[in-house]
Amino acid sequence: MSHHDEQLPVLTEGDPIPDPGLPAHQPRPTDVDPAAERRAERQVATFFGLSMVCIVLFIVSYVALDIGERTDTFLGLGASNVALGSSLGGALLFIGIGVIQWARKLMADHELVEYRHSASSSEQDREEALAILAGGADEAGIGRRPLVRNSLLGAVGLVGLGPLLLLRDLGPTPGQVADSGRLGAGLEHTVWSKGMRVVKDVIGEPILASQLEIGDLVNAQPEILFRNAQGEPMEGVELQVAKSKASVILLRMEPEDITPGKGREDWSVEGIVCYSKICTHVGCPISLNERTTSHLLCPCHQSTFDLADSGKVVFGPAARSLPQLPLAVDSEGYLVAQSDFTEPVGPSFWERDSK
Amino acid sequence: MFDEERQAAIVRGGQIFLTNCTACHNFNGSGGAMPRGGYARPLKGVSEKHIYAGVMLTGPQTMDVFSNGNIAPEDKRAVIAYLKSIEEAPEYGGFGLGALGPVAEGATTWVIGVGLLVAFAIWIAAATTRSTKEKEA
Repeated sequence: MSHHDEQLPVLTEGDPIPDPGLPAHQPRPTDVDPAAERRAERQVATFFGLSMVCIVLFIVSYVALDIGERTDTFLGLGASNVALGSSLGGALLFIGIGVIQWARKLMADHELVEYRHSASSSEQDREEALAILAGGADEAGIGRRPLVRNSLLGAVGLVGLGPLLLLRDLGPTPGQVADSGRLGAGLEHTVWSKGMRVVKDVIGEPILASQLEIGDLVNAQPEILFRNAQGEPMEGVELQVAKSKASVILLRMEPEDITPGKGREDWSVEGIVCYSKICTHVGCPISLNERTTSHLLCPCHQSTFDLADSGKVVFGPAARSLPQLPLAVDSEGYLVAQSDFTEPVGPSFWERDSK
Repeated sequence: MFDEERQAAIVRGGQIFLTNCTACHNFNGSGGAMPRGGYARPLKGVSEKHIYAGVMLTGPQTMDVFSNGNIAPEDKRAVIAYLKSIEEAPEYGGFGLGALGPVAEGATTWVIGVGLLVAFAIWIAAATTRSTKEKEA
């Protein structure tokens, strides 16, 4: 025996700590003093009454107060807003306060003990239920007639194929859209094409390369959104689809600051580079650029791309560089695209390779 | 400018603003956060001259340049007209909370709204004063 064992106290039989039971019930003032009880009753009724007054005020202010142009009548807020809000809020609040006061002061507050019991049914009930199930299976003959059982399983399994087939109607697949023959159709292509002018977003004017200064950032679009061969602008769904893929930003920087990617040596014009405006993470439009670092930040999830270095990801969850649009100038000195993007723009999709 | 011309300029300026400026300066020109602790300044209360020359022509600090070849002088004036119009616009909804968007609104909801709920919860759960008096039979 060690030295420690001798120091342990001798345990008594049963619980080492006796059950202390419930503390003695202490009544509230409202339980023992009839005057306090009546006072609490009046308080609760007063709160419910105040709620009714508030609703009347709400109706009155709805009818009497004009929303109008004056928005600074009361504490810099419109009178109608303040009156409607505070009266409806008060009506709900006073009902709540009244109910809580009622529960705290007047409802019975004696302590209750509820013992836990086993949640399962009795042995007899369980045996009976199992016997019914076994009897049913025996009468139906599931075990004796494998042909019926197996053909039923086959039929139920195949029913699922019907709804699965209908999923095909949820929309054209990327492949079907790409084969539709429309300009910039599908996820692989945009409306950019060889020689298409780069124009300012919203304004629609073409951009003279010579008129941009170092540090200029232009939010731009392909010209076809504003003028097709007949001089008509794109509209409706067609416009939204085209714009969601073709939006670009232009940035002019010192030509020696640019590290051109392999095979991209002639993609910039006098230090002007052009990148897709659609983040490669989940497709937010980005134009939050820092001129001094040429870092472009996506406000949605903080992906950051270096526009001086092929749009490489320098921070954040984006997995791929921003696609770059090869630029050139036409005979009049306006910026044009050399071709469409050489890779799909925007976030990943099922059929996209991971490059 | 005549009133009709001014309205047209404000609409056009608003579209140019939403395309070129809101990424950093917020949809209401209230400014916003930039990478590594930087921030874009609010544009409200800035004079027309400063917005035109100081902001768009030179691009202060890390801001990009919006030269006249990028946004023409007439379009710059339209942007400024839009900015002045939202400065004058009353806040119909009540407290604007600086028009900073979900951050300001969320913080207000948490501090005031949840604070009030906590206060009510404390009141509900607070120990009722008990009496030592016995109930009269």
